[in-house]
Formats: sequence, structure tokens, C-alpha cells
Amino acid sequence: MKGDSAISSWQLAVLLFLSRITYFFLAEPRSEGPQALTAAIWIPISILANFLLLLPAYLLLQKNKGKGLLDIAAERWGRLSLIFPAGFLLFSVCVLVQTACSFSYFLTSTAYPQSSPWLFILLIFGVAGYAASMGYEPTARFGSFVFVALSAALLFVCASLWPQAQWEFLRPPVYDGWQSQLQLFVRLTLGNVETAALLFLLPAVAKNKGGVFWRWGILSVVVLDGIILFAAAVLGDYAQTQRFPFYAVTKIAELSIFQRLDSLHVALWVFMTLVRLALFLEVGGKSLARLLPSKVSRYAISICAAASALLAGCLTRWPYALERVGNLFAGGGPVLLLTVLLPLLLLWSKRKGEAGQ
Amino acid sequence: MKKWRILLLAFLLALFTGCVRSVQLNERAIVQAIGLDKENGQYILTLQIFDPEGEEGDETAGGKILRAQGKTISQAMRKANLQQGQEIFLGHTKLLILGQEIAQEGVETAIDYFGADPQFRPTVDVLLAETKAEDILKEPLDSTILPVLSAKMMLEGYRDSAQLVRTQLQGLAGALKNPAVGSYLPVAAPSAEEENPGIQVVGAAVLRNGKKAGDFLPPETRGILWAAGQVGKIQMTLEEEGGGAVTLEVVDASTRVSVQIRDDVPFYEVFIRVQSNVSEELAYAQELSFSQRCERYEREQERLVERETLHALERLFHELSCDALGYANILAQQQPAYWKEHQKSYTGSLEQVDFCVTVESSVNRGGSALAE
Amino acid sequence: MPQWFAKKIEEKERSLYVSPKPSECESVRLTADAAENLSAIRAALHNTADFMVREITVCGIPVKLMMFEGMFSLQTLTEIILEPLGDLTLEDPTPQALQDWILHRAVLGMDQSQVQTLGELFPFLMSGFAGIMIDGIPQTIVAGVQGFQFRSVSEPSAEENVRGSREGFTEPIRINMTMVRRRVKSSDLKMELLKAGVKSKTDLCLIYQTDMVAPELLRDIRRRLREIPTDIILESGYIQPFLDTDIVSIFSNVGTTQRPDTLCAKISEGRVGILVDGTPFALIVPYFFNENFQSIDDYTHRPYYAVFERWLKYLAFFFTILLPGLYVAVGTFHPELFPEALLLNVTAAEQDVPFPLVLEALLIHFIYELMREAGLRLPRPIGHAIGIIGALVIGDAAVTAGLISSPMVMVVALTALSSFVVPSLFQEVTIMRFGFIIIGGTLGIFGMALGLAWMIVNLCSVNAYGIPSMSPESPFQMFAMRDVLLRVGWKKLGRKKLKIQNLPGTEIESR
Repeated sequence: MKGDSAISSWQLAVLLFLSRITYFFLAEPRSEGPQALTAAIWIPISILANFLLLLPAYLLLQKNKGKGLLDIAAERWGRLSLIFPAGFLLFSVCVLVQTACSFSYFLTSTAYPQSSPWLFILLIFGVAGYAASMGYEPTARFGSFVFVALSAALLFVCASLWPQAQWEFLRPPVYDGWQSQLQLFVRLTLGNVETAALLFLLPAVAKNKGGVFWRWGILSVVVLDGIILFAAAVLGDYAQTQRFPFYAVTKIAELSIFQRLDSLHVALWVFMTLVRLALFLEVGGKSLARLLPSKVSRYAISICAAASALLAGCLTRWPYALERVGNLFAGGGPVLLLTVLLPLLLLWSKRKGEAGQ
Repeated sequence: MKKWRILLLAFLLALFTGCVRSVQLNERAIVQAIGLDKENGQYILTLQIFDPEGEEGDETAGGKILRAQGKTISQAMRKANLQQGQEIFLGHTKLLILGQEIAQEGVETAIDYFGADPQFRPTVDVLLAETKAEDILKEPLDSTILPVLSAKMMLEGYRDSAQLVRTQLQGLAGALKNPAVGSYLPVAAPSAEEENPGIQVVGAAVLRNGKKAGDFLPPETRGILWAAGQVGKIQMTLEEEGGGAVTLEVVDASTRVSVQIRDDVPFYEVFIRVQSNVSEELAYAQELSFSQRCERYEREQERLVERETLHALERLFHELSCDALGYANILAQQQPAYWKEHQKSYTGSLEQVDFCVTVESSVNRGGSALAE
Repeated sequence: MPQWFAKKIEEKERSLYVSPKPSECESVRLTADAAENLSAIRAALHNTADFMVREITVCGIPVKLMMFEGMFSLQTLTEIILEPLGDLTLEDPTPQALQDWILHRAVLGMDQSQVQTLGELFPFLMSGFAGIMIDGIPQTIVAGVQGFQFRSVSEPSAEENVRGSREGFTEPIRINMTMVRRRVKSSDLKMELLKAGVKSKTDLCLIYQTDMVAPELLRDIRRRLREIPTDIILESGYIQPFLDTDIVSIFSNVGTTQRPDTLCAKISEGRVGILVDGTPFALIVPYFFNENFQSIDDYTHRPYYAVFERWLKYLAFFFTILLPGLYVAVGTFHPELFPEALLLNVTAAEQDVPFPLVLEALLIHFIYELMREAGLRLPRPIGHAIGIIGALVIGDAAVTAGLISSPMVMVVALTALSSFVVPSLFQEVTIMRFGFIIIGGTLGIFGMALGLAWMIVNLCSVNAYGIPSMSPESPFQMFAMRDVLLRVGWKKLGRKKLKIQNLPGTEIESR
């Protein structure tokens, strides 16, 4: 693997933002979910909740500048610390598999209805693995280009569909009971898998580490809220018939001779999925490298990509298994474990070590 | 170099998956318009397909008609594929015409089928045929490369005179999903004039739960457009008892609806703002000055718009018990407490719904010969 | 790769290829006996026919003048060597005194040196110097009397411009050096002469501004040049791969230019220019991706027009690599992307073509490349006919015969035109174009997106000499973008100077 140079605060924020928005485009459950306005209100609240949950981990990293979570764990716990990379590896593989399956499902439902999902999974993991193996920087720089393309695409969609927006479709949150709103909050907060990626990659940021979270948060809130509300206003009840409402919005966006540009939007979503896969391949690959012998560890990202591709290809045939994985993440357990509990344990064990001295 | 090997391996492995099924352009039958009828339990599919080899001067140059039938729409589509050997391509379909029997039985099956097809555009215009969709599609049109464009241009002409309500697949599918709202479709028929073949719009049909509930004649259609806020740039003619007439060109119109609950019944307040220019005056109130005439035009226009809108609302809500305008969404947004309680009984209590219409008209200017 | 296979390849290489190594005679030292030296020289040169020796006597001391035929100027030789030596009278006519007079009192031109071995002597003689071997002195004096024929300074063939200098580099390195020196009259402009090529000992000149260049960059370049194992270097392209990034990339990080003004502009931003004797193509290190879209005309035109030209180049680049592939992908997999009228026209045109779109595209692009290469290699009178043949054969006959469709001809015409708008990327776009056609024809928009993503990631992974190749687009820096997306006016450009080592993401230290 290429040695990793530092990336900037904005670059990491953009990577996390793209990853999050890809999840919303492809994998966020639909049709029986809460209203758009409800979701738009809870998204910023979940970001604040994420901030509070990440505080212990952030403090831990601040006290051990230049070291990542895995390094700190290795210092404190010795061999027992391997639970950390194992945890991150499993976590990353699950995210990768879920993303790849959703992506192939999306492609085979829209642009390529009669094609094998294996094709898309193998190819996209090939390119994502290549990007991840080149290090953080190329992925981060590629992310900047994708961000610009996404911004242009969103502007185009808004400009072409603004006159058709019917804001009466935005209903107040009272229609969603407290239970469903709480479930939404938990899913948004503890299902935010990018927080684990943030903690893992934060040491790679050269300056202004604290700014990463806020930049990512503000981008996410502004863009996600905007898209969710706009899509609801444009599609209305039609959104309930669509598995991918954002894709449906791109299907109806027309400006002069530019009609049916949904296939070009598919290209953009390929880029975004690549970013998400490359991001989590970095996390999974580096975690796996800690678990493998040194001779083999330089192939860690490739092994991680191959294993994830294989699993994803197999799981497309068993959507129930995939649903279980999705529900597990939506429940919040994995994120809570990796981003809150384990860092707290590390903080506590450090304090215990200091107390012993 | 090793990274290249991995990438190459992934690419080679991907080849074993069979690649992506490709269809060349000359293997595609590009469908421009679809007609769907039902007869004796069988779906009859009529497709207007682009024919690149159509001879000039031929009445159907640029398009050929294909007819297939089946027990289900999918079966009919498969038969259509087999009949002409090319793969049916629905990505550029502009019109979907449903026959009367489909509307009587319910359009949900048809809309679901076409809506689920990834090729089909959600912005396809949906029409209802007065009798059979097949009759409209078989109508010989101008010999252009795009016969369906002729149909669309005619429809645009009707729209300019506010005699056409426009419904797209997306709107119809959404309305079908929401049990509280209905929808409307323009009704078309082959032109009665033999010298000028084409299609004509004969009104609008209101659908409740996907089934036809009633008809609107072309002059009544404008009221639906006012109430729905879908009036674009149209021309309105005001007639005087003494025989004079003035044509006003509407340049901007907007409708705002708010709802209150009075005596446990929704009360809709429809506020319409219209901005017009004087297009043509024919001996109308000539004794008045231009500005006085404009004031009169404004009052007349307000009365006319109010009358048309009220008539449309009364027919829809009271007579047909159908909220085809989607006012239920406004109710749900503005009166959530009421809506939560009465959502299920809303459609049953539409006859009791009350409304008032307020119109604000402004007539701004006329031609240089008319202005003082 | 299995080890046994790798061993077999190694054995094969050993039997076919020979590693370059210097000649054994090169370390032979000169002696005081001029005759003996001459014998050794003739033997080392294998009695080559173009080696000339003139034996003269100066103040009774035998002196041998050595030179290669055709490399020297007789007039210069006569004026600065033969005449002064012919008229010389020494008080104490010893070999040492003669050497002393030649070295310190005579003016034998500005270019003068002393050599002690054959290895040092031969490069000078073969560069047009005359060797003065005094019997009794174990060194030889070399004096510059070059008079070989070379191409005069003319307009560069591959970098023509509308406004600005018409001078381009020529083959002799010294003339190129003067062209640069004339343009930057700064004491900070430094030129370092090196030699590369085990046998050819080609002269290289590193040119840089000492106040702008980063020391790490210089060290890296010098190290790479020293490690070049090649036997013969005839063109700057021979050493370009050794200066290029270690990451395999389709785009090079070493630029070339034939223009002295371009080279001066580049080195003023902290880059290093490398002149190579025998070629008018100078190298620029490092070279970023966005520089392929910059030309000297951008800085002489008004800013608004320069911006227009810049954007035209960006669009042309994307057209030339993506248009054929996109056309094939859309036509085969996503025809809904075409506007309807266009789709119907294209469908009508494709009705009679027997090939799938992808094959049609590959065929016509292959034919175009054949014609282009033929046009380059043919003699000029016949070369003009290629255009007519191309237009007739491809533009008319093939379409009429139904082998290709007219929309495809339009696509290839637009693609070909666009490829000439960015000449520095000509090789890359040609190969990528074919790649994207195949990808588009087999995988559609998904494949095109993956291919484009791979290309961008590949570009973004390159850090040429510690500076990101995609800088300042990514990592982004607003200040540097003033000369990338736009070309701000000189009033702003002239105020602050860009140093490449200050670009974002740079790993080398700024001076």
C-alpha cells in the first residue's frame, strides 16, 4: 500500500458527506417511512446527537495526537487490542456488502434490468479497491471532483423542477407518532456509519481536525434536507410508488432538449458509490492489515475488496440476509460499540493505568 | 504493477458474468404512442412505432401501427415483440391513451404496469379515449417523421384555450396511491372533420379510486384549471349583451388555497389572481374610456372566473364526490389535527365540504391603437 | 507471476540484450609522448575515417591538432589557433612554456579546457572542439572551433501561436541555452551542464531559477539523471520515462516544449527545464495536468478570450475521449438519453449498417488513425492527397455503401478535430478514446463512469516530485485557480508569483 499523506479537513468532510448521501440515495428505506418534513427536522438533531456521542472518542484522539484508535488500543491493551481492528473490519465489510448490494439492485432495477449483479459488483470493487490501495489522498481528491459534479447535478434538477414543486405535500411531523420519530432518530444517529469512518480517518487530517465534523454536518444537513423536501414537493404521492425517489426526481427533470438525463445521473451515483466503497475499504483494509502477518498485510485492501465482493455477490440472492444486516445497523448497535463504547473503555483503561501509577 | 493485475483480474472475472445485454438501434422498435383497450376480457394494445422506412406522401409515413392482444398487458406486449421481431423500446413514448372500458374498470393495473417499467417516462401524457384508444391512434395524421408530435401539437392548442387538463403518468400514479384524492384525464376522440384528420379534445373525465366517476365538457374544463392553478397563457373572451366582445390574454395566473374548519367541515378558500392584457376589442362598451373599460373587464373577468371555478368545485365535490384537485393534501398540511381524525371519512363527506372563491383580476394594457 | 516463469524471462533477456557499459579505453591516461597518444587515440577510434590530425611545429615543438571532419569551422580554426601559433615566438621554447602561453596568454576563444584521459578527450572532439596535443605534455588542450551544420532557428512545428515569438529551439544545446538566457536576464537563472548516455554522452542542461526552485526537486532530478542506464540518448523522449512518476499513469508528469518563451515561463514558477543536445524538444519538470490546456497565446490575448479558449480546450479534451464512447454507450444501452428527433434520425441512419455501433466506431477510428499516420509519413506532395482520399473514401463512399452511418462520420470528425486542440495530450487521448469505445460498447454508461473514475483516481494519485499532479483543482486552492479555470488579467497575475511548491498538498518544502 502506498504510504498515506495527510488530507485536509474539507477533503475528509466531503468524503463523509458523499458517503452519507449515497446511503440516502440507495439504501434508506422508503414508502412506509415518516414524512419528509419529519426527516428534515430530525436530521440536524441527529447530527448534534452524533457530536455528543463522538466527544469521548474525540477527546481520546486529542490526548494522543498523531495516533489512531488502533494505535492507542495497541499501546494500552496489547494483544487484546486486536478486537478493535477485528471490529472495524467486520463493520466495514458489512457496510461494503450492503452498499454494493443496494447499488447493484439499483442498477438492475433502473438502467440495466437484464444484467447480472455480479458484473457490477466485481467491476466496482475492482476500481474502488484500486482507489483505496492508492491511499487516502487520491480518494479524497477524487471526492472533490465528485462533489462538484453532484452540486452541478443538484442545481440542474432544482432549476428544472422548481416550478413544479407543490409544497402542500410537506406535512407536519404530527402525523408520525413518537415511536416512529424515535426510531427515525435512532436510525439517523446510530445508523450513521460514517461516524466510525470519521474516527478512523481523523488522524490522517493535517490541520483543523475539529472542523471536519462541523463541515460534514452542515453539508449533510443543508443538502439532505434540501433534497428530501424538494423531492417530496416535486413527486408528491408518486414518491410512495418509487423504490428510489431521488432517481425518480432525476427522471422527470427536463430542461429544453435535456430530457431523461437519469442515465447520466446514474454515472454520478456510480462515482458516489465508488467514494463510499473506497472509504470503507480504507478502513477495512487497514484494520485487516493489523490482523495479517506482515508479508501478506500489503495485500489487505485487495483481500478486503475481494471478500466483500464475493459476499455481496452471494447475498444478492438472499435479500433476507441483507435485510437483517441493514436492520442490525439501523438498530445502532455496531456504531454505538465502535464509536462510543470501545473509545470509552480505552479512555477508562488509560485513566486506570494513570491511577495505578 | 500489482494493482493493475488486480484491476485486470476483476475485469476479466466480470467478463464471465455475461456482460450486459446490448440491443442495437436498428433492433429497437421505438414506440411513440400507446393505446390500451379492453374487450371481452382481453387487453388490446395498439402501438404507434417509428418506421424509418416509411415512404413520403404515405399517410402513415414515419409511423406504423402495431396491434396485439393478450389476457394481460405483459402478454400483449410480448406478442407485439414477436409480431415485428424488434425489441419494443418505451423510452420515448409521448402519449398513453386509455380506452373507455379501462377507465370504467379502473386504470390502476395499466398505470402500475407502465409506471413500473424503468424505460417508461413518468412525464408521459395520459389521455382517455372517448370510445377506443385504437381509433385515435389509427387516425391518419400529417406525414411527418413524428406523427405523435402532430397529436401533441393539437393538444397544446387545446391547452392554450384552456380546454385541456394535462395529466402525466406521475400525477396519476400518485393520485392512485392516495385514497383521499382523485384525478382527471383529458378525453380525446378522432376528429369529426374528414378533410382535417386528427384528434380533438372532447372534455375531461374525473377518476375516483382509479375509476371513471364523471365527465366535464370542454367549456367546464377551464374551471378545473382555475381551481387547480394550472392555467397558463390562455385567451378569454368576454361577451356583452349588446353583441360586443373583448378578448383578454391571460399572462399570469396563480391560485392559492387555504382551508379552515367550520362546524367540523372543511371550508376551502380559493384565491385566484389573474393578470391579463387586452388582445382584441369588438365594439365593447365603447362609450367608456380605456381605463374605465379595463375596470369593467376586470370585474367581468372576476365574475366569469369565479363562476367557472365554483361550478367546477361543486361538480367535483358535491356531485361526483371526488377531490380530483388534491385539496386533501392542503387540508392535511394546514389542519393536521382535523385530518388525523377525519382522514378515513374524508371521501365520504365531500358533499358537505364548502368553499368560496375570490378572484383578483388586473387588466394591464392593450395594443397601441387602444390605449389612451 | 510464478518464479520459474520470471527466471525464464530473465534468461531470455540476458541472451538478447546487453547492458550498456562504458568503453574500456576511456580510462586510458594521456602520456607526454604525443605520438604514443596519437596511436592510442587512433586505436581507440578504430582508425575511423572522419578523424583528422594536423601535425605542426610551434617554436620547434611538435604539436598535433586533432579534430573530426565536418565538425569544425576552418575559418575559426585558422583565426584563433593556426595563425596565432604560426606567428608565435617564445623566449624559452619548451613544451611547458608553449602550454602556458596557450592556456593563459592566448585567446583561443572562450571555450577552452584541459583533458587528461581519452574518456575526457573524445566528447570534446566529437562536439566540434579541436584538440591541441603538445609533445612532452601529458595533457591535451581542447578549444571550441565548432562549425558543424545545424538547422537554423525557426518557428516550432508543434506549438504555433498567433501572437508572440516565432523562435523555437533547435538541435544544438548551446544555441538553445542562449535563447533562454536572452529572455531571462536574471542573475538567479542558473544552467547546469550534465552528460547522459553511456556511449552517446549527450549534453544535458538543467535550467532553473535559484530563488524559485525547491532544493529537493533539484536533488531528485539530478539523482534520476545520474541513474539513467541508457546507452544512447538521441532525443529528450529517451530520458523522459526516467524523470516520470513511479506510479503507472497514462499521463506524463514531464512536459515538453519547443518554445523558449514557454520554458522561461515555466522555470519562473519554480520548475526545472532540461535541454537535450540534438533535439529541439526541451523537458519541463514537473508538469501538471492542467498545464496541458495552457498555451502562450492565453497570456497574450485578452482575458475574456483566453478564458473562452481555455474552456474550449477543456471541452475538446472531454469530447475527444468521451464522445465516441458515449455515442456508442447511449446508442446501444441508453437510447432514451438522445433527444427524440435525434434518436429517430440516428436510427434511420443506422438501419442499413451491418455492424454493431461499437464495431462501427472502432473501425472508423482505426481507419482515421491509419490515414493520419499515413499523412505524417508520406512525402508532402503525396500527403495532401490523403485528405482527399479520406473525404471521398470515408466521408462519402463508405456511407453510401452502408458500411458506416453519417452520424458516426460526424462523431469521428468532431473527435478528430477536438484531439488537435490539445496537442500535448494527443497520445493519451488516442489510446483512451479506443478504451472508452470498447467500455461504452460493452458496459454502457456504467462502464464509462467506471473508466472515467479510474482515470481521475489515477491522475489524483500522482504526486510528481511531491507535488500533486491535479493541483490546484484537487487539492483545491482558489488563488492558483485564477490561472486554471480562468485567466485573470496581468494586473492581477503580475502582482503575486506562483511557486509550485506552494501548491496545496505539496510534500516538499518551499525555499
